[in-house]
Amino acid sequence: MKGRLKRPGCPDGGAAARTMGAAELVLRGVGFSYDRGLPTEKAVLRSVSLRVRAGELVSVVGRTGSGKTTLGLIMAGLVRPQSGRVSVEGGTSDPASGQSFRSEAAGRLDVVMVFQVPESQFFEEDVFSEVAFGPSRLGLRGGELEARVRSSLERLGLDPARVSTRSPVRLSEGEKRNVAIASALACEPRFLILDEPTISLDWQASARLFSVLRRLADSGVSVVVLTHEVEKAVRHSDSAAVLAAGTLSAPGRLTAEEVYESWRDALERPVAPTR
Amino acid sequence: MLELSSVHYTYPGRDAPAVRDLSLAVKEGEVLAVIGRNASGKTTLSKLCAGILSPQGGRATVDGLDTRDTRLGPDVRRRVAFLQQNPETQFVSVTVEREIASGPENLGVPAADARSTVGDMLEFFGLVELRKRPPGALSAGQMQKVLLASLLAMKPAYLVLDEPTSYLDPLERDAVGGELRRVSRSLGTSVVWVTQFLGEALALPRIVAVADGRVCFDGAPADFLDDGDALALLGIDATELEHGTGGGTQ
Repeated sequence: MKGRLKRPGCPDGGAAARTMGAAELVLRGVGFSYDRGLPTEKAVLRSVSLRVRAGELVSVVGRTGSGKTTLGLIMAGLVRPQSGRVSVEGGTSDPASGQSFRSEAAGRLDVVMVFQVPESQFFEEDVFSEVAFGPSRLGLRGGELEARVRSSLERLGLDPARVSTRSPVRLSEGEKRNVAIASALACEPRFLILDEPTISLDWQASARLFSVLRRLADSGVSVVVLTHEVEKAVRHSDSAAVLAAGTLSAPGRLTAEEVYESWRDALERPVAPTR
Repeated sequence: MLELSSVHYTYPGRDAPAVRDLSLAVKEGEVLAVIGRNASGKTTLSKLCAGILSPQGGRATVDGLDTRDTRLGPDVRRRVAFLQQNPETQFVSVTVEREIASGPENLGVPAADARSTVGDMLEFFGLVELRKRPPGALSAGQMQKVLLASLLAMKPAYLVLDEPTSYLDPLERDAVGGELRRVSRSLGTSVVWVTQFLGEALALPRIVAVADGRVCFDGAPADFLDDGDALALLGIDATELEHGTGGGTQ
């Protein structure tokens, strides 16, 4: 049964799509509304465009309810945009088609998303199995799989000997967060999308996480952090884009105060319907 | 008075205690922050305060009621309301307004009074437009507001909040934090406020810092910032402190 499950954040169903070279994740004019066509329709994204290049660490900073999670789900191919297009250019993956993001390279995924609430992506009984699920679905076995799990945990400051046999849902909130991220790292994605990854992490754990993300980006992985933690985003990212009133600004080097100013401006601009 | 006296607690299957020989007294109407690093024992402390966990050693009491005495459970729970970190695990109703109403109704509050309280809370937390929505379909920050509204609607004597603003953006965090302080003052509610954000803690009159299951500091915010040992135990680099809109060092 488990073999047929399509795990959240690690798309694994459908025909394998292939990517080659330094791929870019590209969004063009993406729009999305909840309850579309109903009286309760709520537009959250309106003509959002973004290009994430190989090795970039980009933050999307938005307020609670601004549509960050929806944007992440669309980027990860877990939700289809109602207008516009999302694609992996320089390869042949097509998130909008619903095809998987399995990479041509063995043991890697193209796009992986870490969800905001860690429990929503846990379903194994122990931490080792949880982190091993993604790479095992990609064909890793034995010592190679064990080494991948161990290194993923250690990168997040988790001691494999201490946590491997524990239930992921019985860890502290900060440890849960790190296990969720380690599970994503274990898939060695080309594009890593993290939804509010610093919630529940203390100051040092947050700094360690951004250090890990920086090293990932330096190794060629594209990292997108969806966050409301403005100071951390502008300090640690190559560029930040502000998501407000349904639109996304062009990524750039911003100060925290510039972001807050954009948020305050957006309070005056309700999100227009997408159609 | 809510009081922990030399309490110990070790989770099943774990060797190291989550809290050890920990004492804390919270007076009526007092508002205090509990801060500490990940896995330092903050959540365990908050659950012991709320009577959700019973100490394996020492004693936990709420207005003199021993939380280990299961016969007193309903009396303890009428006095203490508890907010967990993960909002999705706590909803019991299908709409926001039903969620907020469920607490007062379960306490036997007359329907008219309950409706009035629900209206006040919807207004107070800016939830009027969302009142017919399923709470589980809201954004995480909106969920947290619904839960805070639900707890305050029960008018508890003690409010134990385990990182209540972690899912809120900095502007909302400042707003909700300020409103919580105002509500606790006007209602006389005691608040045990677990937080990762130093800015939030510094805005409260008392800080309790926890490290390795023990209290390593208990006092005024200004004294905390001067306590190099406590700052070091919490892994806070004094030179990196942020006091901006985000209000924290997290």
